[in-house]
Amino acid sequence: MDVGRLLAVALSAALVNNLVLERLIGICPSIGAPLRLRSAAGLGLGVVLAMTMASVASVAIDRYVLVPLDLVYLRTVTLVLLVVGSAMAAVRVVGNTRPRLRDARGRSPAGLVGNCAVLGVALLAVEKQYGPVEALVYAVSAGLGLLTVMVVLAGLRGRIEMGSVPESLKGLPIVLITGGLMALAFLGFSGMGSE
Amino acid sequence: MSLARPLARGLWSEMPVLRVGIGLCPALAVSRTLKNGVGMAFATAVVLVASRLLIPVVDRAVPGRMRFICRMAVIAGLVTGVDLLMTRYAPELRAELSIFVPLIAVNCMVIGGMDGGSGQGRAAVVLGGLGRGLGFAMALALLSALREAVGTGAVWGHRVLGETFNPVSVAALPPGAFIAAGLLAGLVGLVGSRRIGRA
Repeated sequence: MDVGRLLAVALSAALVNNLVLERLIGICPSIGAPLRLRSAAGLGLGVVLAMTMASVASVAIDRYVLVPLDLVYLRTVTLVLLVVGSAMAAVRVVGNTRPRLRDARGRSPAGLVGNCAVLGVALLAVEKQYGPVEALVYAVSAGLGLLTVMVVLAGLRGRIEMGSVPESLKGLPIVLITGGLMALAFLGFSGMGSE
Repeated sequence: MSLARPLARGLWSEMPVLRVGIGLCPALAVSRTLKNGVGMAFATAVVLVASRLLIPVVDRAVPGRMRFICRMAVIAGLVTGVDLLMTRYAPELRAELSIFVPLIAVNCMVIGGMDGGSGQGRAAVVLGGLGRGLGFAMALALLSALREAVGTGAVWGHRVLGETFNPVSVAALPPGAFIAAGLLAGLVGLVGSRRIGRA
């Protein structure tokens, strides 16, 4: 496995095919993330952790169990259960090591599972037929890309709330439009690196 | 009618995507064309209603901490069923929707409503699911028709905007999804003339 390929995977996952802005996965946590940086970080940390565990486990089980035994039709069930397990583990780890990062959504595994980014990344890693190492790199960099967008969008939302937004665009609409403009900017990365 | 209320809530006052920020990811991702949007909405609605029918049965059989895992396993099973049916009868649609079909299993609309409201009857919970499914379908139809029209000049493959119209290709790209959804949400909010909630 050469480093160049891993680098390309990382670059592509974090910027070119950014989860939120290009793949359109994990939009809800980015748009609804708590404005306070500490709770946002707690949520983000849990997501990245769960995402990494789930992706590596999914890729390994898919490659070494499901495909050889011709059980590919069980992929969705298996991956969903792996995501549930990873989410529970992530909640426990984040809760125990960083108690102050806990917030209502980070505390319950349902909040993490309902976050489509976790299953989404696991599915993408399996679909791209990554090996376990590539899946690890892919999940971590995709998670970092997600965190970046979450933090930037939280900052922008704070600014927007102070600005004068037309009444009918207040709340969700203006945040969506802001996300669109960010996505437009991220289009500039397209063509860099390839998966 | 007390049973009409949960139905109407999902359909309009708490319409997913455009009025309440749930179900955004699949909505933005598959709304490039009307055909995809409607197919996705149909698949989601089936899982939504079926899961609300089955979850109480699971809850009765499974106690305490295992409940959540069992619920997820049941939902994943339902999604697999829908997935296999789509692969058999609508392979092109299934290929277009790609990972967003298995992602229905973790859709916030499906997971979020599992507990229903306390004190609600079975029928109300199922109807609430149906209302949400229909509301999601309506939102997706609006969004995908708009994006397809602006992005290609056609709707459901039929050309609707005149020959002189130059398709705005960004509408078919991810940024177009965000912007179109934002503008539509604003419009729907204006029509409903109520503040729009957030996820």
